[in-house]
Amino acid sequence: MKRKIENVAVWCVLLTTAVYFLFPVYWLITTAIKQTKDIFTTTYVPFIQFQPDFSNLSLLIEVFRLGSPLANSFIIATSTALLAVSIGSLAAYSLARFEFKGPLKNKDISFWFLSQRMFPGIVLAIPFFIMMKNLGLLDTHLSVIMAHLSFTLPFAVLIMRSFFLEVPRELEDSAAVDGCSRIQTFLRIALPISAPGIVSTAILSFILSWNDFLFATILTLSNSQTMPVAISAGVTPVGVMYWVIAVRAFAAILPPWLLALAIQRYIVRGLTFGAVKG
Amino acid sequence: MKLPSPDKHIKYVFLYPSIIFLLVLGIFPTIYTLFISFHSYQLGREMVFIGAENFREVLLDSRFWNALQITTIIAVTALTVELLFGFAMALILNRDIRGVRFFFWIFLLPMVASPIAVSYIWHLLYSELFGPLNDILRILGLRPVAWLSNEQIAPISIVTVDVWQWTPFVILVLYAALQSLPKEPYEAAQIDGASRTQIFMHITLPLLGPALTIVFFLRLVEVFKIFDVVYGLTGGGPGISTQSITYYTYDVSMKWFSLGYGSALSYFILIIILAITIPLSRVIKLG
Repeated sequence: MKRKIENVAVWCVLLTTAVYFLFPVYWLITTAIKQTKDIFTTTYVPFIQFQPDFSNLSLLIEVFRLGSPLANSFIIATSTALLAVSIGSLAAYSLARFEFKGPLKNKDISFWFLSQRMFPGIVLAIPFFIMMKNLGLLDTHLSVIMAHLSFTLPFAVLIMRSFFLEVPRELEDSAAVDGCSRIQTFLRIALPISAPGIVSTAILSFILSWNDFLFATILTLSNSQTMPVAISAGVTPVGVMYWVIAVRAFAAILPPWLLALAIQRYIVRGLTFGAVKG
Repeated sequence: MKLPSPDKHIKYVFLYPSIIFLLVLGIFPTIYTLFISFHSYQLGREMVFIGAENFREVLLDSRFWNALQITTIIAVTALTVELLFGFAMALILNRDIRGVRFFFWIFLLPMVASPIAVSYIWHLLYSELFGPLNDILRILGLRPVAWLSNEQIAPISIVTVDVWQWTPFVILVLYAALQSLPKEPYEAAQIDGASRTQIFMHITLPLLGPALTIVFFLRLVEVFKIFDVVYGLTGGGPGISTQSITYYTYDVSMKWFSLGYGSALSYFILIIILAITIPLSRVIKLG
C-alpha cells in the first residue's frame, strides 16, 4: 500500500515537472500561430478559443534567403563548428597522446584551454569590437565566426581530448608497428574510432555558436545579424511585436533541440568535458 | 608500452594551430583590454593614459557593488534551487525506468535553447496584462504579480528563468552519474539490512560527490556571467535592480561607450571567473 502511494506521488511530481518545462514552449507555439488581435487576449487552446493563423510561420522559410538572420546563423554556426573541430581535434589528440615536457605540462595546457572556455565574453567583446571596427569587419560573418571560435575552440579541444583518451592504445601501437606515422595513426585509427565523439563535439560547438548573443549583438548590424539578435529586434521603440518574437524564438530553439536529440547519448559527456560518462 | 617517436616535434604541429588561434582570439584581446583599462577611452575620442584610475573608480562605484550583489544573490538562489530540484528529479528518474526517454526529450529543449530566446519566451509568460501566469492567478482568485516591474520580484523572475533553463542540465548529469554507479555497495548494504536513508547518506551521496561538484562549479561559472536573460527579460531593470555584472559592463561599454572604464570592469569579472575555474579544473581531471 505504501508502495502504491509512493508511485502515485512520484507520477504526480513527474507530471507536474513535465508541465512546468513544456508549458512555456506550448505558449510560444500558440502565440506564434495567433492572429494579431488574439495576441492581446489570454487564450490557451487553438481552434476552440481562437482561430489560428499559420501564415506567420512563413517567416521560417526565410532560411533559404541569403542574408536572413536564420541563414546567417546557419552559416556562422556551421563554419564555427567545422573550424573548431578540425583545428581542435589536432590539439586534443596531442594532449591525449603526447607528453609535453616543457615548462607547461599537459595538464597546464589543458587548464589554459579550460580557462579560455570559461572566459567571460565581455572581456573579449570590447577589444573585438575595436579590432573589427578598425579592420572594417564589423557586420560580417567572419568577425562573428572568429569571436565564436574564442570559446568553441577550447571547448572542442577539451571534449575531444576525453574522447581520444578512450581510444584503445593497442590499436594505435599496432598501427605504429605496421609503420604508420603519427599523423596516419591519427587519421586512420583515432579519428574513425572516436567519430561519434567528434560529431557530438561538432554539434555542441554548432549549438554554442548558434545560441550566442553577446558577441553577435556587438559585432553585427544588418548584414550578418543572427537569430538571437533578430529576436531582440522584435522589441521596437514603437511597440513589442509579439508574433515576430514568437516565431523567431521558435525558429531559434528548434534546430539546437533536434541536433541535441541526435547526439543525446553523448550530451552529458560533452557538457561535462568527459568527467561524467553519459 | 611507449610508442617510438621518430618525429619528436610532431606534437607541436598538432598543438600549435589551436594555440595560435587562441593567442590571437583570446590572449591578445585580453591584454588589449588590460591596456585600454589604463586609459580613459571614449569611443571616437583620443585615448588618455590615466594609470590605475579606472580600477580605483570601480572599487568606489556603488553601481558596481550593486551589480555584484545582485549577481551573487541570483547565483546563490538559482544554484540552490537547481541543485536541489535537479538532484531530486534525478533520483526520481533513477527508479522509474519507463518514462525516462520521454523526459530526456523534454529536458534537452531548455538546456540547448538560446538563452535570449528563452528570456523572450518568459517575457511573454510574465506579461502582466496578457501573460498566462497572471491569468492563472486571476482565475484562482489571487492578485496578479508585477513580475517584471517590481524591484524585489524582478530578480526572482530572473532566477526562475535560469532554473527553468538549467535544472534539466543538472538532472541529466546527475541521472547519468547515478546510472553509472557500481551495484556492489548497494547489494552489500541490502544484505546488511541498511535503511533507505542510510544507503542514501553513506553510499549514494559520497559516490555522487564528484558529479555534484562538477555540476556545481560549471553552473556557478555560467550563472555569474549571466547576461542574455537580463537583457531580454528586464534590460537590467526596473531601474538597476536586476543589473548583473556583465550587463552593467555591457551598459558602460556599448551604450555609454566608456571603453576604458568598461575594460576595467570586465577585468574584475575575469578575476572572479578565474577564481571559480581553478576548483573546477581539479574536478574535471585534466591530468
